[in-house]
Amino acid sequence: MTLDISSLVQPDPGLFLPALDVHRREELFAAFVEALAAQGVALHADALLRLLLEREALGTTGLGGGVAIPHARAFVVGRPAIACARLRRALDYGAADGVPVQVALLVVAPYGNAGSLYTPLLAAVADAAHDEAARRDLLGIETFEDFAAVLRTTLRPRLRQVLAR
Amino acid sequence: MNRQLRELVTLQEIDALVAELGEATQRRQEEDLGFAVGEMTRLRAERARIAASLRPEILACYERVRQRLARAVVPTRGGVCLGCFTVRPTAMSSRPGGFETCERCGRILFPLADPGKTLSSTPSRGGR
Repeated sequence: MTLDISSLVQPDPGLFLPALDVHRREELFAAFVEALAAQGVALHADALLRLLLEREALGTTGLGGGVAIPHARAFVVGRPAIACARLRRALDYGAADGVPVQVALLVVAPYGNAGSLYTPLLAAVADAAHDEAARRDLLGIETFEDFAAVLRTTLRPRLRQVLAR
Repeated sequence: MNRQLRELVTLQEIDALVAELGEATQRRQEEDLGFAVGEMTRLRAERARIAASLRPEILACYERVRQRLARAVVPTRGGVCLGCFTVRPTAMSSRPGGFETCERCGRILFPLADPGKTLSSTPSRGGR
């Protein structure tokens, strides 16, 4: 199988939310889903939003250090995607370390073959959040150009490593 | 889209999440990545609540199709069932419960939303 990693972690300006002004996780997820719907990634916005909320209710996706990675595999997702939100003010996210979230990276993918890279992709993003230097890169995202650079230099190599294991 | 269909699409997603995280390997995988995965009680209760809100005919149809197909509820785009790619209208069937199924594969159909349609309440974005 040929893995087109480049297209998988292709930066999409429509999936970058700069200076997002939210007070609750629900608002953050709604903004993500709205962006995914506008880009044709979410095929049913309400169902995806409720799925993300239910997943979050099972346990926090705030990995600590100010980074959250909400994620879902869903039938109502058309293709794998990563969206990023830079929050205008740090959000109390219920992360394990209690540190408010400044940057959130949403990972979604469909079920089936089209979503076969979901777990590697999630692993690559989580690995970056756990690594101190990479986390600094994530927390430094302010603009779309920053997001695109992080995808290229921080996430893409990690995805290659995960796939090579 | 009517409320029943909306709930049904959500039910399908929740069923898939229950199956996915109910599976030990997948659950451990998430935990190994640092994500918290708690008890499924609340999720199962939400599943039961949604199922109870559905008309019996549509729920029965959903459960029946699920027995043989992983995805029982699919969108239609341009009149095509995106489960089996059969074109309507000849391949559509209206059911007494007020929903449509694909005559070829039997899946329950929902129309794809307009990509421009957004959720009812969304926060403001700055700096765009």
